Amino acid sequence: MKRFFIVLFSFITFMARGEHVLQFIPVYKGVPIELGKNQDEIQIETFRFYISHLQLLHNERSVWTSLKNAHLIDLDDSQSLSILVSETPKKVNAISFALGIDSLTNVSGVMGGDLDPTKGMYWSWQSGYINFKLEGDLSAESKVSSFAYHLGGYSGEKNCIQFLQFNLQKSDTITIEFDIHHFLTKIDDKASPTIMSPSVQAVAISKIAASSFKIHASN
Amino acid sequence: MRRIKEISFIMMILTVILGLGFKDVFEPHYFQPIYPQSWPKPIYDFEKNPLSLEAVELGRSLFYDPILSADSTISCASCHLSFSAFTHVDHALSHGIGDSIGNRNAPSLMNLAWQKSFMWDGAIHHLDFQALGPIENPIEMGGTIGHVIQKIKRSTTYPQRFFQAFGDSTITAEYLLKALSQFQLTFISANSKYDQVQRHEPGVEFTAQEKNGYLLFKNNCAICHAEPLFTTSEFANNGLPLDTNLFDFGRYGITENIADLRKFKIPTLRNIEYSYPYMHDGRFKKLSQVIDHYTNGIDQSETLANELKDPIQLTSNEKVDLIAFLLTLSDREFIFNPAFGFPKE
Repeated sequence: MKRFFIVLFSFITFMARGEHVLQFIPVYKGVPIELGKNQDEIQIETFRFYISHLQLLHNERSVWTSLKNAHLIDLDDSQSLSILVSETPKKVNAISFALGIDSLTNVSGVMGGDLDPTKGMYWSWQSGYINFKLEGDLSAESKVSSFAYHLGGYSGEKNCIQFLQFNLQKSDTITIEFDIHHFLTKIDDKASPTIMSPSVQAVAISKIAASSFKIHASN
Repeated sequence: MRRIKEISFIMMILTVILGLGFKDVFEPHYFQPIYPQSWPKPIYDFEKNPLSLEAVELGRSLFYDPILSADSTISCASCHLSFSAFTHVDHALSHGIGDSIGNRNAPSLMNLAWQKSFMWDGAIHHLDFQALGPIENPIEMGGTIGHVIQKIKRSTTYPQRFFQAFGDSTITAEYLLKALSQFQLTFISANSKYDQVQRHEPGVEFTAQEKNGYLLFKNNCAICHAEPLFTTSEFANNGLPLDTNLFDFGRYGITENIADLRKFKIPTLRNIEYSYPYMHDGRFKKLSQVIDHYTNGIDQSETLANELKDPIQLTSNEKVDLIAFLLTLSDREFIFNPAFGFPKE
């Protein structure tokens, strides 16, 4: 009899839990980007960024936190673009995450998995994770200009990490778009198209990167 | 229920039997680093990377292995030689891959668990990440960490050793860097004559010269070169005239803060006898030149250390006594420790 109730209880809690899929899709003027392909006026060669502090919320309370310290989303690795979140409560109405790696993780010594230095997201000449890497070419009026944004920095006024939160209507599949066109046009034209070290500028551009994420939630 | 108990018992017996027969068991021999009780607590978080004999030996093999460089000619030991306190003996500036010359002197390596930052400009803030600098510097080892890992994966001996050290035969940068850290964390130097005198070891006493030198040291040098590590690990401008070939502004290059112009990390004075030439660019071959700099050679500037605004005053006899004291910081047990030398196999 006791066994019956244990099974029944597990069944009920199981039914109350579900699965969510987070899908990251970088786009340019509404069209999903393919690496190395010339699309419209843009060609993206590298696009990688870290997501950390990933949480699902219900009424401002966290109901699920990712066990992974950081997720590396890499356009060159299609598997990394989806995060399957299973065993989560069905009632979820917001998602929050940080773009980048926080200062504490930055000073905690070498780690593995998505944080392994072979991922090409760690500066060798100066300590610190690269939160966001976007490299490519933009052709405008028969002129091709290259850009390379390596955004990182974790201390004081050079701390680049950006925290984001989005409300969700329905949430089984959460599509998170990164609007590259929005990102590139919002960056000051006079600014150098190459950012390769921690700086106040890198922080400003990280804010623009954060504002370039858009959410689509659907069943 | 009884059935489950019986099955579990059989499974347990089987696991033990199989375990005994299985050679490749992950059983690292952990140990604690040994250092004087009077020293401050280490800054390095050993809990994230506990020392084991297997990982230390793996780190030692990697430290001496030129596979870490792009053309397999340069190893860590090429610039960090154990018998010169892990500096590049007799080299003002080190040379790297293809005989390219760098712009800085290889710092000595010891007591690293107490360092807050690494490199002359503090570019690296954690020992685990230090090796990435030389590995990926085009004028040092000239490669990439990814390529190094690929090469090591193809080795017939390394995968087994990574397993014995970390319980995982998958070779990753995390394990490589942790192994290198572990080897370097064993470089503890605390048995010089100075240390023995501090511990009141029987039969060990300073000579009159060394005693006087110690007093002079405490009065003139110890604010920056604080005992027992002989450095505060802070950054300071010690009045070295700017070298107009190298134009090295030190810490400023990392922080871009003008208050950091020409500031370099205060190095330890332990084993100073062995780690010539001196300063971030090795400009002084002899200790007497170093001391003459502090008495007669200070270059005034905005960022000059407050302690040096007034020149240090020493007679020539006092200079000799001071050097006599500095020589008591030599730890021959450290310098000649076979555990730090080239691995036997």
